[in-house]
Amino acid sequence: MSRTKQYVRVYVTPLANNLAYQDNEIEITDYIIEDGVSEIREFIDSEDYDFGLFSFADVDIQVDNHNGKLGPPNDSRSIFTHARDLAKLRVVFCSEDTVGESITETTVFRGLINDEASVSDFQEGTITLTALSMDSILGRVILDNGFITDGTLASEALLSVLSIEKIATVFSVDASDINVGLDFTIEDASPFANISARDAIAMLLFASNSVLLFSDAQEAIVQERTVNDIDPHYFYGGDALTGRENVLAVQNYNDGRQRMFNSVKINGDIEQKNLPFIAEFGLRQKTADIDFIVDTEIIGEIATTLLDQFKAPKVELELQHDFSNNTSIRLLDPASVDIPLRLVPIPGTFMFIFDQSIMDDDDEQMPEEVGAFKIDANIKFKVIERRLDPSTFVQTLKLRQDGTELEDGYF
Amino acid sequence: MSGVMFFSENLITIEGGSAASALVSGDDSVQSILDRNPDTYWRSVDSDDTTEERIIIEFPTLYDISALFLIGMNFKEFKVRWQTFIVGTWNEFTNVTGVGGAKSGVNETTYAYDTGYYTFDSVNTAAIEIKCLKTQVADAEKFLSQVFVVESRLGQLSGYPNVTVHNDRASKVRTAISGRRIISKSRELLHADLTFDNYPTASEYVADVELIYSLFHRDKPFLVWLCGGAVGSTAFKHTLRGFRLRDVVQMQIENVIDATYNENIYIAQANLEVNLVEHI
Repeated sequence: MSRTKQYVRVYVTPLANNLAYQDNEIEITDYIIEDGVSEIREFIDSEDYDFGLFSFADVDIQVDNHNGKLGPPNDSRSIFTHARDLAKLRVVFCSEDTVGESITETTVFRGLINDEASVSDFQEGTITLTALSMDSILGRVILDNGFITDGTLASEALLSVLSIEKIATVFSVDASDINVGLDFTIEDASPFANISARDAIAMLLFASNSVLLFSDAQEAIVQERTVNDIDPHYFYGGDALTGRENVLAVQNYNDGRQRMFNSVKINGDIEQKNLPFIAEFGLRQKTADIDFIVDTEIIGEIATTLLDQFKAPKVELELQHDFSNNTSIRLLDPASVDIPLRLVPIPGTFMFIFDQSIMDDDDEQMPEEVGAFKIDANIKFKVIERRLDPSTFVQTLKLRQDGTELEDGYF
Repeated sequence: MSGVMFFSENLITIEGGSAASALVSGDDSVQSILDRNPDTYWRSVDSDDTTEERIIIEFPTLYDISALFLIGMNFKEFKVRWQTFIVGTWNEFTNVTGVGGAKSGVNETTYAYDTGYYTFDSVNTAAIEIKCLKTQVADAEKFLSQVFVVESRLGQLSGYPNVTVHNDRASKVRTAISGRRIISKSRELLHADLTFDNYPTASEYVADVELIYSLFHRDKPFLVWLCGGAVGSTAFKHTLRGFRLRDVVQMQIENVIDATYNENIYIAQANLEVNLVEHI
């Protein structure tokens, strides 16, 4: 892959009023301090020893404010005429060809400025803007008593929450993009009263065995944890037989037992467990409370669904690659990692060729295999976390083997 | 030939979409010639000096090519031709220069080296054909490790900077509790430092420095041939790794170039150094 110029650009869209944004984005790249964009991270279920957590990119951006352009709205020079809090912020990765004739832009972060966490440095004349991910708006909205009613399906409740007007100013949602893993009827909606939209979403996602993602077009998508139905992204180590190589490093390789739960107990007494897996791997239990469902059969079904998803240990690893080589990777995309052992021919001989060499041929013998670890290319991984370092353009992917049984998760 | 030689990057890789086929024997191993691995080879099956092996390499698209390497081979009598797109005819290269000097096409009958190098008038093609009849040891199985095809030769140094070759195994060294070492090694890598010390001011040497700067500004990697085609005891008493005919390596410049004039006199000799590292 040829190297081209790579850099980031940063844009903001200030609010025009409480409910609407200005029409045009404003580029603030020139105000960004060198290495002033922090790591960008988004993940689902990628925290060790748990599942059901979700979050997207939070990013800190250090900017120069010598002319007051990025100051608070009480400074008449500021571009934030209404409020700086909740202004949209977008970080773009740019790749420019060698003669500068074309620039490819990839949006790597969309978020909202959180003024509460932003800090001004009077000595240096700089501001560190903290931008929370798009889903942070969910934490700013509270559900009224009765917003969700008894008898509502989980999918309907998710759609209603995500369609709240203030939330809809940040991202859109369509009913066709709400596809939960387990759709159930909310029997007691009172736990949803007077809580944040984020807490409500988290409760519903957990119980429905679903995750919340955002498309490049700022659309909210609720789906199961199934891997996206696209061609896999291919990664190769230095000794891959095809001579390709695009892996910078592999870290934190493990067999996934830290995210395996072979027993799920809800509300203290409704438990589903997999006895053979408990016998083999030892008990690992996830407990939770679901207080918006009364029917124990439905709760049992929820527990069974969650147990089935996480009962088997699945290989996990972190892989680093040059972001410019592949800017299209998204959460839940499939990936293949081909890192074989290094084959070293016996001195004075040629390597054995399957379907061609003859056994016991002195000239062509089985090579030695050298190396500490290997990863088979036929393991089907899915992306559960992305971390991009804007200063080095190195992206770290956390990959988890697909599947729910010991024997599945292969191409 | 002499002086370090530089070429544009190798065009034919598996990753890039090129594919090889062996039409007589050894088709199961022929992709090895595109994998950039010196340990893997295409090898014929039950061949001898009466059997002409034939390999075709097809490119994913039309390329302009003006030089090629056949690396790690035992061919004695062989030829290479290019194909006219769509029409499909096979043509001789013209204005060919090889390791042994000027040639009529890429045609050899008594070749004795393990690597072949040929420049020729540029052609626009999507396929080349390699035919081999005889081996340097009579009636041996034929083998070939790598084929490189490039668009252009970027240049050759007229002078001789100090060349330091680094043969790197990317070793991981750990100390065991006894104090002894545990060492794991990776594939052999080749890096080279070119140090231009008191580099002369004649025009051909000024051109050398300009060539180095052009490589420095190049975003794509490039092939480096430290021996520049020089071979044999008249060129090297010891042929160190890196200076063998087969040591054609894809590299890039990784350092900042710190350049000075001797005594800060602008019409005096120049001093600079570049660190070339093997590139993927």
